[in-house]
Amino acid sequence: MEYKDYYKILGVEEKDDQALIKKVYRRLARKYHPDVSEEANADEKFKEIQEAYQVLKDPEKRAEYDQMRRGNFGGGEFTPPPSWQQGQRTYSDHDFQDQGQFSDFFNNMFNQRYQGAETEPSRGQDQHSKLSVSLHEAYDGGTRQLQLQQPVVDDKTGVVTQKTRTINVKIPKGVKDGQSIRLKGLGVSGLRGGKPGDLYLDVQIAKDKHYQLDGRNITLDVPITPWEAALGAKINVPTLGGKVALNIPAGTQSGTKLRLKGRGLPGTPPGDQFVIVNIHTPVPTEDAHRALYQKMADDMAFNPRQELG
Amino acid sequence: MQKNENTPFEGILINNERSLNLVQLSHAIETEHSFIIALVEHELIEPQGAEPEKWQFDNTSLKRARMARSFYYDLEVNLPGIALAFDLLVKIEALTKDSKD
Repeated sequence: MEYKDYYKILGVEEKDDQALIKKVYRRLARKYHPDVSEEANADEKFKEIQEAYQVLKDPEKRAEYDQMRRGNFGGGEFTPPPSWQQGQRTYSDHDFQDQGQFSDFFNNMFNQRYQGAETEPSRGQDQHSKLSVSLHEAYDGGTRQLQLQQPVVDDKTGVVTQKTRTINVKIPKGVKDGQSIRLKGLGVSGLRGGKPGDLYLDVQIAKDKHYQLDGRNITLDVPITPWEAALGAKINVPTLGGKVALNIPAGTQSGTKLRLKGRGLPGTPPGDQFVIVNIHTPVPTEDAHRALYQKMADDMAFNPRQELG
Repeated sequence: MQKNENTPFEGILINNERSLNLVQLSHAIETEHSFIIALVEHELIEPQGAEPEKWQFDNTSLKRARMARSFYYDLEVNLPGIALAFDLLVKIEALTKDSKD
């Protein structure tokens, strides 16, 4: 398992006092809070900071950690000493549930055994996970395989282990960016026969190469030829549901926005697809083509910069 | 014990039609009912329904309640401070959207 240097994570030293550690934690928590941070990997970084602070703010945990850290350990891969297996601590349900979000290193060091003082069944914690789906998956729906890390406690021995659970979930058709899917009973297992918690998947629709998404509406840039723009044309444009014919009115300019009603993401009402046309001008490579442009220049009195004065 | 996990699980999409009650929202963000009630009192989240037993929270409330819980416990911001942060976040979102258009 990977060794965690909690002092390094917070950027503090072993001699630093609790007040300074708290101050540094607050500053880093603001900087990396996933809801406000612009930093890359804010999510992971925030979890790491929280884990480090969880240990260093607690004198008992900190002393235990310091002792282990001083034992000639260089970093990188880490094998827990046998003494970690013998720990007989008493933790509350809350402590047990907290460990779901922390690293194996933390869990091995501090929550080797769970011996709850409570005797009543206790419902498992709800779990949150992010689910990135493509725009096409959001349109068509689909199935996705997920791997979840969940703490499991053996009711008899009290030994806590992290288990990887693989599940398949359905992605509902028409799911919107930022929506949550609630999967009942797929969260963390309950204690002493308690019900399991629920799993919440927070859907993020990944950026598409061609389409831009706004709510249920999608926008697509479509190149057209100067003659299609000038004379009007019926062209085929891709939509999430396949190609459709789109009428380009005669005299269309670059940047014109055309609407394909109901061709966005499904829903009630379904979104629309907007097409923004861009006129692409062919570069003449033959004399005959240059002559065509020259004829236009000679015959058509057109000054697009007239309004600029 | 477990059912065949190859069968895909079908979830419930949290939106305006299908929402969470007070107990479910409390579980979802791992907090006490009283915290949710305080969030409603400070107008940080707005349920449908007149009294707590009838409250229904949509996806926006779920997201805001989770954020509020984290601001409150992890950043030690009080509820009026969270209200201010939310107002500013909404403004930032609108400005970012404007600058993209």
